[in-house]
Amino acid sequence: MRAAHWSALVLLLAAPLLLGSQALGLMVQMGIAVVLCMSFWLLMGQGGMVSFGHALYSGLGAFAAIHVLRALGMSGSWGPVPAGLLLPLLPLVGGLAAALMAWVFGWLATRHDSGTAFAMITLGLGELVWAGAQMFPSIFGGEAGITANRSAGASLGWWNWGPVWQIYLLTLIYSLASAWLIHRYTFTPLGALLQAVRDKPQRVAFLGQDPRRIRHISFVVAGFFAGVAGGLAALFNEIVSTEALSSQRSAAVLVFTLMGGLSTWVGPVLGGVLMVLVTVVLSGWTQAWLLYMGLAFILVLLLLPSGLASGLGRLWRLAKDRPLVCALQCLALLAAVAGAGAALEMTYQLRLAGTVGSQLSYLGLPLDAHGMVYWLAALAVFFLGLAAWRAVAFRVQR
Amino acid sequence: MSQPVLQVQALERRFGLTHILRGIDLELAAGECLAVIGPNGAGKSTLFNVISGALAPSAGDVLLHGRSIAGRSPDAIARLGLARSFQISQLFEHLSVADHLRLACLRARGMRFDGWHGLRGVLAKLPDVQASLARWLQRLELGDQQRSLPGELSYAQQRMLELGMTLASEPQVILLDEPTAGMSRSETEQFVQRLRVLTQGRALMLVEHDMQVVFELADRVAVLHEGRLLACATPQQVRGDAAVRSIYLGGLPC
Repeated sequence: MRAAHWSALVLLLAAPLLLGSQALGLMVQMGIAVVLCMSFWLLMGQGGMVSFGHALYSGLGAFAAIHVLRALGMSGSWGPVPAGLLLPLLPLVGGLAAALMAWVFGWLATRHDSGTAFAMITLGLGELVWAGAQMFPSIFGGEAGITANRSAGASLGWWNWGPVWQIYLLTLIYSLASAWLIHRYTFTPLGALLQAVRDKPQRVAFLGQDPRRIRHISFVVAGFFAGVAGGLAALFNEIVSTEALSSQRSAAVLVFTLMGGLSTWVGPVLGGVLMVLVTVVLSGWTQAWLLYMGLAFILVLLLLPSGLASGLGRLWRLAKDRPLVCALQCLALLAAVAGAGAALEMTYQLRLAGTVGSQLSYLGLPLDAHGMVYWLAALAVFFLGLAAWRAVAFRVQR
Repeated sequence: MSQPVLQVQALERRFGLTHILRGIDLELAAGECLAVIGPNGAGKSTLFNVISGALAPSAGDVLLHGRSIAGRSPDAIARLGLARSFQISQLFEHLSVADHLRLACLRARGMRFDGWHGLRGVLAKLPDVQASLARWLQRLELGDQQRSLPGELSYAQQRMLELGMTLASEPQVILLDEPTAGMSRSETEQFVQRLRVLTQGRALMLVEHDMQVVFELADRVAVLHEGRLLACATPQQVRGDAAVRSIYLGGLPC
């Protein structure tokens, strides 16, 4: 296992040599999303606090970072220190700003033992700040956003933070450190208390600890790491708009963390990677990506209530015990997904048929939404895939 | 006689128009064991809930070491040295046995999580906590199960862990709510032996339905009936009290 850890680390460090700047950009976004999802997991998975306003803290962290970045870019340095040396500290600036807000808002939200009260207060605060941000375009930039140039300040020779790979290395360090710290947090006495408070807050009170304080501290810690993620995002994108504070963003964090799974730290890591794959990659491929996201979310909740991480764990054990069965099941599943995808894409194309025609390209295949044969083929692949899955699963059970 | 560690003075508790406690006066001396008995609905649990801070009293006062604790939060009362257990084990299903006791030990070491000072204190005291954790695992004979989750323990072990959590915070006053409920006779006997050793020298107040346990452990017995204190005397006196026998001990051979 140690060897696997080290080789993974070496691969991550060597990624700039292996990947183009576009793929590297995706990796940066994944690192950021992993930190965000892990901070949310700390709240929801470990503390039982379902926040509907987590984007508030990543968003405020991003705004804090981008404003400091602008100021650094204009002056080029801070006293005798060149801006290029200070730039790596910006995620911490974001984190501290978010932690400050989390301290204030968390005090309000964590007063009650009830999870519903917490959810509603975070929802209300999220909407409040979002609406407030619209009223101050000079600070929050409105829809156009606040822009900055990360390589504008006095650079350190060729290391000017301009190329993606330099930001990638910074993000890698921050992501690994944040994920490790959050993971460690759950093993401290405070982390154990947080789980205890989630399960039985009254009992914790009778042990002499104030459940509100335990929740509050954890809320601030989660807010800090969300702010770090926001600061990293500000550095990478060089633009932050009020969209960063929106409830859609909060909902995405919730959906993908839950899809990944709450029981261990693997869940939010998986959720973060998935978040980028869906919101960045899939949304580039198809207009129907929100539909797929919703369907996937519902299916995961119904079929794998403890998340994709546990599903992958089961698949991994199956692959070790019975590789052939595992391969067959994966093939069947892929076929079912491909068939369903084809049918959904054709449905979507029907809407556009009047303007751009009914032809579409799906996985390199030319399809026609008006052709009955394509529909039959798509549905056949879907049902055959499902049937094959059931057949294999049935055999395994016997 | 020294000052009692716990005093309950004219304690009343109402829910709407329903009077659950109608003026209770009780005293608990250091090292004493007081059993509270009474039929269902007599107000025993409410009395415990008011003393431990889960409920605020409607009138009257509760003094711990001579200081009023009435209406304080449960965690504040626990920090002043009063701990309680529950009739139905209140364990944390995702934490190991060792974690349960560790959390209880934190309080005994004065560990609170209040700001930077608290954090430094926590780090300095962790070895200390570890040592007292090991001691408690041994005392409770749960050393082999320290990595188990509560769901993997036997019922008697769960009750022992519930008791251990209460005791590991090293309180001066201990309230036990039906500690032997649901145990077999032999389990109960073992448990009572252990309880006697572990609570040596501490003030103990327990609600118990098992009269054998009551007469074995208690120095004094308080009888509650419909929110009033019917009698508070030694077990022998209570056993001989005609009024008590008529409402509660009717079937017990003397």
